[in-house]
Order: sequence, then C-alpha cells, then structure tokens
Amino acid sequence: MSTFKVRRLKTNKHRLIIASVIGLCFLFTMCWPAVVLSAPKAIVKQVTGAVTIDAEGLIELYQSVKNLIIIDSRITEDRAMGYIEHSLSLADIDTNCKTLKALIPTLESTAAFYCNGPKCGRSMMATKMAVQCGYKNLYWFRGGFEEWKQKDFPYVIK
Amino acid sequence: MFERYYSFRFIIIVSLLWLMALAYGLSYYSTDIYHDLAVESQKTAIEELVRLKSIDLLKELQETQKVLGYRLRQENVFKDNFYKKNKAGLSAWLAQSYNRYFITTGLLTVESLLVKDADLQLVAFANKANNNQPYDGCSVIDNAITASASAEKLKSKSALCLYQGLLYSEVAVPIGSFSANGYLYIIVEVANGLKKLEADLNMPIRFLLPDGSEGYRSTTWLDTKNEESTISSYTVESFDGLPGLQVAVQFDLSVLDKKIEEIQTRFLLITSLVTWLTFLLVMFLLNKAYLPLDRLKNSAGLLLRGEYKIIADNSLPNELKAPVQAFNKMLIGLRAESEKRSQVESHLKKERDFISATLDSISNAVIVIGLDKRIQFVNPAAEKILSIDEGDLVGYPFEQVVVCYARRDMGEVVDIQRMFELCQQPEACDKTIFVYDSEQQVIELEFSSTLMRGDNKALGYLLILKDVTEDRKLRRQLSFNAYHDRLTGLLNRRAFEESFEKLIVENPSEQQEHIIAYMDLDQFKVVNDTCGHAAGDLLLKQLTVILKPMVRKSDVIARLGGDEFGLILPFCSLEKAQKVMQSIIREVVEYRFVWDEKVFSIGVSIGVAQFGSEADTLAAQMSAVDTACYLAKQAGGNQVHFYKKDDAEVLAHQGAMDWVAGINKGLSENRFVLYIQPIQCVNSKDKTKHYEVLIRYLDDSGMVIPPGAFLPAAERYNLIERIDLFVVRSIIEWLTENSKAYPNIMFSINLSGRSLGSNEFQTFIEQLIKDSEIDTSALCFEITETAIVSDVLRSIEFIKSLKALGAKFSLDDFGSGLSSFAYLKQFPVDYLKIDGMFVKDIMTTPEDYVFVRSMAEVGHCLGMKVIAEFVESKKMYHLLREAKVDYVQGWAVGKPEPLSTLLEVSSD
Repeated sequence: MSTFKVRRLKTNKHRLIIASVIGLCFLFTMCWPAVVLSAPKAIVKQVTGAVTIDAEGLIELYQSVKNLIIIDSRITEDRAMGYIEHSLSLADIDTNCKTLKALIPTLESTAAFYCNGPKCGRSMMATKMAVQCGYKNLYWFRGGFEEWKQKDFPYVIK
Repeated sequence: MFERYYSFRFIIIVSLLWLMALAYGLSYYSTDIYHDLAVESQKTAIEELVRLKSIDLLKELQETQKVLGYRLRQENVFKDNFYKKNKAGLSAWLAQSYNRYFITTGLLTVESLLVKDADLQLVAFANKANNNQPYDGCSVIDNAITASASAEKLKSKSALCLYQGLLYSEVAVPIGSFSANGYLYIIVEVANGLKKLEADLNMPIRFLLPDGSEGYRSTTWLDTKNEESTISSYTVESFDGLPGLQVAVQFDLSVLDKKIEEIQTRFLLITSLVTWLTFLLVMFLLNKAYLPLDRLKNSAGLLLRGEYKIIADNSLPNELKAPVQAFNKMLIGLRAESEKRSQVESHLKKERDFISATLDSISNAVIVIGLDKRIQFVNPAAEKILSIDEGDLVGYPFEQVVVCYARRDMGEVVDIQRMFELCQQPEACDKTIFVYDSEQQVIELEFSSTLMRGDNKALGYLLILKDVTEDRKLRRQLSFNAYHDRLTGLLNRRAFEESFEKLIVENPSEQQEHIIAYMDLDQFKVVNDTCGHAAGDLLLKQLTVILKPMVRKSDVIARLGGDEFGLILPFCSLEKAQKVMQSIIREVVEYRFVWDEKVFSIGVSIGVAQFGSEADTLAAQMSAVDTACYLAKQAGGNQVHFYKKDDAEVLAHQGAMDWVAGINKGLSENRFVLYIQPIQCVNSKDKTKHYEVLIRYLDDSGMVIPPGAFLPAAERYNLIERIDLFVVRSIIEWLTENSKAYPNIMFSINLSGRSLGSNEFQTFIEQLIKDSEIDTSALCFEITETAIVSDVLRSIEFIKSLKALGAKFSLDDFGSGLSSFAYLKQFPVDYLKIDGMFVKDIMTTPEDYVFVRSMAEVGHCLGMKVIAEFVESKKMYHLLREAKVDYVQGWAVGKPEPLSTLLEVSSD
C-alpha cells in the first residue's frame, strides 16, 4: 500500500517535471520570434562617403561653403508642411545620378541631404545614392526637418 | 437623576436618536464641507485650467506670431525691400501687412510690426493708423539676441512685456534662414489673444489690467458677486515676473450646488434609511433581547396568580442568563415554599374546617367567653339552644344576654363567675342551670366551663352547655320505670332488693328486727287463663289498691313477678308482722274479682322471714321467704308460713334442692329405674294388661329411693321434664323391643304439668312415637288435675294431638282439687283415676264410698273408664266393684316391680 503510494507520488512528480519542461519549451518557442524581433535595429548613424551633421552643422556648412546644395529627400506632400529655406526638393525615390546631376553642378560640389528626421531613411538612401554617383563632398543632415523645427530654426511655410 | 431607571428600549432609542441626529448633523456638516471643498477644488481646478489654458493660448499666440513672422519675412516684397534697405518701401509694405493681418487673424490683434536690422536698429515699423510712434517695449528680446551665439541668433525669440500699462506678447523671428540679417518683431496684445479662453472654457471671463482696470469682460459675466458663482483667476506675468494680466473666469456654482444638494439628499436619504433600518434591526434585536425579560415579566405576572413558569435559560445570552437563572432559582424556591405553604395551609384549612365542622356539629352549645365576660364565639348549637342569633350574642356580656338560674323553679340567679368557680375542679364540673328559652319554657342545661390557656396566659373561658331538658325528663321517667312496676305502680324487684340492701347498710350494727315477706297469689292463673291477661292485669291493679294502705308508709311493698309480691317491714316485730299478714290474707280472701259477669275469688300464700344482722344476705332471705311461701302454698294456700332456721319442713324442702345435682347425675349416669304396678280390670273383660309406670332412683349405695324424695325437687327445679322424657323414651324403647312378645299391654306414664305445658316436649314425644313402629294404643299418659289446670288450653291441645296419634289419657288424682269438676267435661281423657285419698278410707268412711261411687258415675257419664288406686285388700276390691269402678290398682292387685321383672315373669 505504502509502496504503491510512493510510486504514485513519484509518477506525479515525474509528470510535473515533464509538464514543466514541456511548458517552458513551449513558452520559449513562442517567445523566440519576439525576442529576435525585439532586438534593436542597428541605428544607422553614418553613411559611408558622407558626413553626418546636425542643424547647427548645416547652418555652419551653409555659412562656410558657398553654393551649398541642400536636397530635401522627402516626398512633396511632406515638404508642403514646411521646408528649410534654400533646399531643393528631390525625393529619394527620384534620386539617382541623373537627377542629382541636374541639381548638383559637380561631383566636388558640396551637398547636404535631409528628410523628415532620423527615422526617415529617405535622406540616407539619397545620400548613399549620391555617394554611389561619385559625389565627394556629401553631408547627411540626419536630424532632418524634425530637428530643424525643434531647434526653432526658421523654415519656409507654403 | 441617577436614581431614575431607564428601560433598555428607552436608552437604546435615545442612543439611536442621538446617533441619527449625529448622522444627520454629520451629513449636513460634511456635505457643507464637501460643498466648500468642492467649490474650492473646483476653483483650484478652474484656476489650473485657466492657467494651463492661458499658457496654451499664449504659446499658441506666440506660435501664431512666429508663423505670422515666417510668412511675412518670406514675402518677396519684404525681402526685396529689406535687403535693398528700402525703408520707405518696407514701411509701406509693413503698414499694408499690418492692416491685412490685423483684420484677418481675428485671434490676435497685432499691435505693432517692427523690422530691425542685424544690429537691432529699427528699420521700419507698422502701427495703428493714428500712431506714428514706434512700439518700444522691453528690450528683453534684443538682449537675448545680442547674447545668443551665431546659430542661436536664428531662433525666434518671444517675451511678454508691459508697455504703456498693457501686456504685450513680443515675438522676433530672424530675417534669413542661415544667417540673421535682421529681425521681424510681431507685437501682439495678450488680452485679445486670451479672449479665446471664453469660447474654449465656455465661461465668462474678465481681464484685469496691471493697473487694476478692467481690460475685458464677457457679456455673460455676472457683475454681482453672489453665492452662486465664483471666480478663478490666473495672472499672466511679464517676462520679468511682474503681473501683466489677470485672467478671471467666473463659473456658475448653482450646478455644483445642485449636484451637491443632490448628493446631500441622497446621502441623507441613505443615512436615514440606514439609520431607520438600524433602528428597526436594533428594535427587533432588542425585542429579541427583551424576550427573556418579557418572559421574566410574564412569569412574574403568573407568579401573582400562583403559577410558576420556569424560563428556559439554555439559549440566553450570558448577561441575562445569570438573572434568569437567579429568577428561576427564586421561582423554584418560591414554588417549594408555596407548595409547602399551601400544604400547610390546606392542612390548616382542613384542620380549621374540621374544627369548625366539629364545632358546628356539636349538639352542645360551645361559647367562648373572654376574660371581660363578653362572648367571643358561639357555635350554631348555642344559638339554637339559647334561641338567640349569633349577632345578638357575640360581643355582649354573657350575663346581659343569658340569665341562668340555679333551680328549676327559677328562684336563684347564677352569675357567670360562679359558674366558672363551680368548674374549678373538673370532677365537680357537672352542674345544671336553668334558662328560659324564647317561648319562656324552662330549659335545663348542663354546663361545664374550662379556663382556656395559651402561652401560659388565660385567654378566656370555654363554656359548654348541653340541653338536658328532654334527657333529664326521660331519665327521670326511666328511673321511675327502673324502680317501679309499670302495671301496678308499685316498686319492682330491683327497688325491693335495693331497699333491702339499703336497710341493712343504713342500720348495720344494731340488732334490729325487720320483716321480709313473699306473697304469691293463689288461683291467679285461673283468672288469667279464663279471662285473659287484661283481666289478670286489672286484678293485680285492684289488689294493689287494696294492699297499699295496709302497710305503713315506711314499709316497702313491691311487685316481684307475675303474681308475686314482696314486703319489707323495717323495725317490725314478728307478732306485728303476723297481724299485718293475717289482715292481708283476710283482705285478699274477701276480695272478689268480677270480669264478664264472672266472679272470682283468689287466695294468697305468704312466706315471712325476720332479718336484721348483716349476715342476712338478700339471697338467703329471698330463698327463705320463697321457701316459706312455697310451704304455705303447699299447706293449702291463704296461709302465712314463718320461716325458722330449724324449720323441719323448710329443711326438707331445702334437702330437695340437694336433689338437683342428684337428678342430673341420675339422668346422665342412668340411675333411674322404671317400676311397673299392674292395673287390673275389675270385670276381666279387658284382655289388655295395664301397668302404671313408676320411677325409682338408685343412690350411690344402690338403695332404691322412692319418687317422693326427688320428684318435688325435680318439679320445682325444672328437671321434671327431663325425667318425663326419660320415662317416655324408655317405655317406647321397651315397646319397640318387646311389643311382639306382649301384644296387649298398656303402660300409663305420669306426665308433669310442666311437661304438659311444653311445646318442645310435645313435639319431641310426637317425633318419638312417629319414629318408632309401636302400637300407640299401648301408651297412656296420666296427667294430674292441677297440671291441666295450670294451663287448661295448652293441656287440651297436648291431649288432642297425642290422642290423634292413638295414645290414651288418664286424669290422675281426680278429686284432690275438687274445684275442677267444671273442667272435666272439657278434658278428652279416656281414664279417670280417683285420688287415693278417697279410696284408702272407703272401708271406714261411707262418705268416701259415696264420693268414689259418684265420681265413677260422673266418669262413666263422660264416657271414661274409672280407675281406683290404693286398693289394699280384697274387701276394698269388692267394694269398689260395687261402686262401678272399672279398674283397680294397689297392693291388693300387685306391688310395684321393676320393669325388667315383667320379662322375667313372662319368661318363667
């Protein structure tokens, strides 16, 4: 009687352990993609072949470089919300060597790209495109219009 | 105050009411506080709201200003004029723009537009039309611009400034995007910008300017400061912290009040509801809690009615359990007590009822008299006996109500004190008093009184009166009856005896001579039998009348029995007595009794004895006079026999008494022997052998005693019946045995008068005859004249009944009485036996022969055979044959022989 009881207890314990293991495994499998997905994206801060600058850097650059070309990589709908004065509109999807060439006189000309903000990849894409097109003096204003407006620098309202 | 007790209910109701009041008060108070707090918080909230809203609006204003600035500075006309430093053109454009934006924005009222160059020198400005003075507010923006670094200079600057008593919002935007070539100032009055607050908050607003004057007021602003509204304000300060504009918002409290009131009402409602529910619950519980108390109350109420209801305490709360248990204990105690008491009470009641019933049922009057001689209690019998109601007795002095007399003639009044004194000794306490009843009849009362004591203290007297009127009357009568003869009124035997004893006792030592006499009437029975008892009674009465005056008053004359009288003559000599007795006899003899035209004469026999000493006992004297009287009677009646101690006759008589034992012994030991004497028929016609049966007694020595010795004793002492019976039985037995051998035999058996008068004897003889199978004609019964005469009717009945069985009868001793010729024809006898006295002298006395012959003739006339006895010689035999006698008996015929010899003779 007692032995039976003990054995039965043992079986129960076993079952518990097995169930726990299975449960843990299940949980892990379920959570795995989330763990993987929740891993932070590698924030791109640099574009090879371009200098990342902020708003003040852009202003400094504008003041020091004559004929600085500022390209607004946003689509026109975003640009309608306001834009930095003297910037040229060229959406990243439209950015290629040809369009760049139309805006930037030479490969040595200094150009800066911006879009809505750091999360906006358009300026990065545009900058990369410009790097591939062979432009040497490229600046990526990573903060974009968001940083500009936040720092209360003047902009143009349509 | 604290001595007053309050009920639980009261206390709890008061507490509850207090709590209710408290709750109401609290709710009122709290709602008031809440109201205040709500108002306060509302105010604070609105203040905060106003502040935030104001700040928002200010920011919005500044933003609008900035945007306006951006718009203005990117205008090409402005740019051209600014960069070409065309002040006039710039001013004109500014004025134009001012007017345009002043109108269009609506939100903000542009006060002034300023354009300054990079060195902050005013280049152009635009104002209201009538104002040519450029706005010159605070220089805070200028200073900020100056202080800021290159990139910073590109940022717009804003500030709130007080200018000419008004608060202005100044915003400066740089002209140029990457380098500040100049600044465009947009100056806006704050108040106008904040007016939007009214629309946003939907509340009336009011602005107070720093100088205290009102800058703006909503049309809906309520001017009077009443209870229903409150004001929250926020002061917009200028850049340097000076109060610039106070924004006040007025908000309506009525809604809040209404809301609060609603809350308050609800709160009160709930409070009261809860309170009432609590109250009800408490009352319910209290009632529950009161239940044991109610039970206590009920039980206590029942207690008054004598019921004992124990309260169940098992489910009671502790605080009530103890009192209830105590109450129960008390109840049990009380019940036990009450049971005991009721037991005692019922016992007492029973006792009291018993005593009361006893007192009521006592036929004696019971009167309790107090020491003050006043009546305290009477029982019903007392009322009845005294014929006075209880109401007229109790409380009154006894003597006043009841007058007691000492004597029957009501001569002497007895006072109550004396009645008590009479009863000092209990044994002496049997006194009689007399009172009148309501009808003035004398009542005789026996009384006894007892001093009642309780706790060693005299309480009063208990007087018991017994109405003995009737009792005493009856007793007197009874006493008279006891000592007197009812018929004659003379003293009776008892009185006679007592008189004798009294005489002896009262005169003990003196050798006095007294006379005692015993008188027995002769022939009284004849009167009684022939005329009945009424006649006899009358005779006795008449005799009494005769006898009474013949003795002295001191003499005692008594009727001792039927016709027996006794006399005691105290202090009387024998001679004198003799004279008296003689005169009595003379009187009696002379007396004639007449009844139904019949005349009777009677006689009297008197026995006299003398006594005087104590040795003379009544019994001895009575015996003596009795014997003397008997002897006098034996001597022929109308005689006096004086008893003497050595009197031979008396001695003989007394010897007879000795025979009593002898006869009894003879009967039991069979000492009597039967003899027979033949009676011979003179004519020899009769073949029947006729014998008279005689009896003898064998004494201890074997001597044959003749009947004369014992028969008188037997006759006198009532033994004769047994002897007769013995004889009859013996003869019947003999006949049963020997009748065959002696077919013609006849036995004459003497029967005494006593046997003749006995019914039992008759039935016994009849039964004997019937039981035996003898020839009854062999039996002849001889009866004497005197025997018949003693009870004629009875004797005739006897004779007739035995004759019916076949027995014969013979009249013995005929002629000795002589008075009985008259009866003779009535007697149905077969034989007539002439008295021997006539026969024995027949030879010498011719008269006797005549007597005998005439008697024989009479007998024959009546159809009887005549027998003569005492025939002693042949001569006599022949003489008697001449006298026509049928049978003879005597020595000449045959001597008496034992019966047994008959058998011997015949066997020879």
